[in-house]
Amino acid sequence: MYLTKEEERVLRGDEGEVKARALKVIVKVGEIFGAERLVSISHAHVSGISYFNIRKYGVEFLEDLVNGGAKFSVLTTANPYAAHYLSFNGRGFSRDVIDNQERIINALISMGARAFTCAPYHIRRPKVGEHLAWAESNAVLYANSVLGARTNREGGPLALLEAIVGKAPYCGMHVDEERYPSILIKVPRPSSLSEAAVIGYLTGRMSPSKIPYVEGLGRVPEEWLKAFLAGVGTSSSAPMVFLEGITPDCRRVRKGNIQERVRLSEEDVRSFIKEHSPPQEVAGNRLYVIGCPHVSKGEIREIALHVRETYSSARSEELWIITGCFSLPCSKIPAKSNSKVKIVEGVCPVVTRLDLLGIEEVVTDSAKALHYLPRLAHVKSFIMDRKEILKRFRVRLHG
Amino acid sequence: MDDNIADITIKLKVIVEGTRQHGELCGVLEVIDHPISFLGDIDAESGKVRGGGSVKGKILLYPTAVGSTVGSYVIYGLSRSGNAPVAIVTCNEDVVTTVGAVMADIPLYKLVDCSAIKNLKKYNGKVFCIRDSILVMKK
Repeated sequence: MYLTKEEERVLRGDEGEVKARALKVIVKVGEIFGAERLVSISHAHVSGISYFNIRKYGVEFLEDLVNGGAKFSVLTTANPYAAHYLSFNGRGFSRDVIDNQERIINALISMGARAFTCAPYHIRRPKVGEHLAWAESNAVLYANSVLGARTNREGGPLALLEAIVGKAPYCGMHVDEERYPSILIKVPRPSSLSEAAVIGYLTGRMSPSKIPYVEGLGRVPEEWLKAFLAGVGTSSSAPMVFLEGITPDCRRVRKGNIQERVRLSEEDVRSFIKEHSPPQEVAGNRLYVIGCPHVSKGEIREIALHVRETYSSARSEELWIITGCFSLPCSKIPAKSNSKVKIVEGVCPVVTRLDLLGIEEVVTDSAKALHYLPRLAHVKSFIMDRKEILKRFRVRLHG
Repeated sequence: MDDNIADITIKLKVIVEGTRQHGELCGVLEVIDHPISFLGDIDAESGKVRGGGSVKGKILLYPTAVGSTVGSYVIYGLSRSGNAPVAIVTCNEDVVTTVGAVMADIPLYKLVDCSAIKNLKKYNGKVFCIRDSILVMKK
């Protein structure tokens, strides 16, 4: 691989052992993918932040970097952490969980992490053609597909090391030639946010590894696009989707050249939603979650207007509306809340062992959360549209 | 096939050179003949393989690492807890293993001929050495 004089200097250890080791990782990974050189990145986004995922060895890895003097050299944001400071019906997490999650957060902040959210595009919208090193699939898909920025689907640890060096291998989605669709999928037009999410999830299933060209989605609101792309990223490893009329790269490709063509039917979408709808009877402790991916400040303002009205119920259910910790320090006090409705920032319930709080089932408007909740949070999951969820808590949206 | 043990010489390609140890690397062979997910399949604190032995001090062979990228942290954790293998040999260069190996300073090699992994499985538990990118049984 070609390295600049500056990169060779870093690799030799002139800027410290940690930075040299980090660059060595990036070069080795670049060699695997046949990258001829590295590219400077303007924004890194790190995943693998929940203590429930990275455990003791992740904490040690991060603290060893800090002790070695590691600092992020470009704008760096991080994924949300586990909901370690929250409680459900008064039940919270153990000291061990809280302390270790705090150690992870503190290590990232001391290296220079500026925010904790799965929607880093809400902190700063990268420009067309900008090079990034983002982990977190929904963010990667949003950057490539909606903004026309360039990032591969980095793993959590790799993005962390790229944040330290400020470089990524120049390959994959950084290169024009690799940004091409190889399957055309015609999808039905969604009529709600959760329908958009399910259409995304089913689109990803039809294209588990290829980049799809998606036709038929139409001009939908930004939060629907987020939901759609988060769905795609859940069932597919594709780092990008060509969205007709939206993706800047569409100009470069001719959809007539795409050989493979498939269609997602309205019936498939309807039956998926029916199959995953919650039963009328609430069987056990039920949590409602809005905010996978995190809701934006605009969305939160819209929702917050309607949570003034105090919701109370004898039922053992709560609504958590999740948004990013978009600037430090992160608040640990749920905003605009009483005991049943909480607006919380910086956390991700999906990467939290919700079963330890006594939660048995979660109802969400997100297809991504629907998929991962049973696997990571150890709870049953169901899907319901955002408007329906808010209505249930007497929280009304405009329109 | 390779029934004469003394004749086995397996060619390797260096992916990540270790910086702590030089010359010959020896250890008991631990062959896992299916893709592994470090997160879930290997316990970083004990070095134990799910449903198998331990990777501590071994020459660990597997076709490829799959699953969560947290796997890189598990490899690092093995090193921190003193349960690291002396070397890792894989069929495919994968990101999870590569990131973990560089950060944990574990030498990483690739099998030049991937089909060798099937034959090597029967030598599980025997001591092998890696010298000049050749894997041989210890005499």
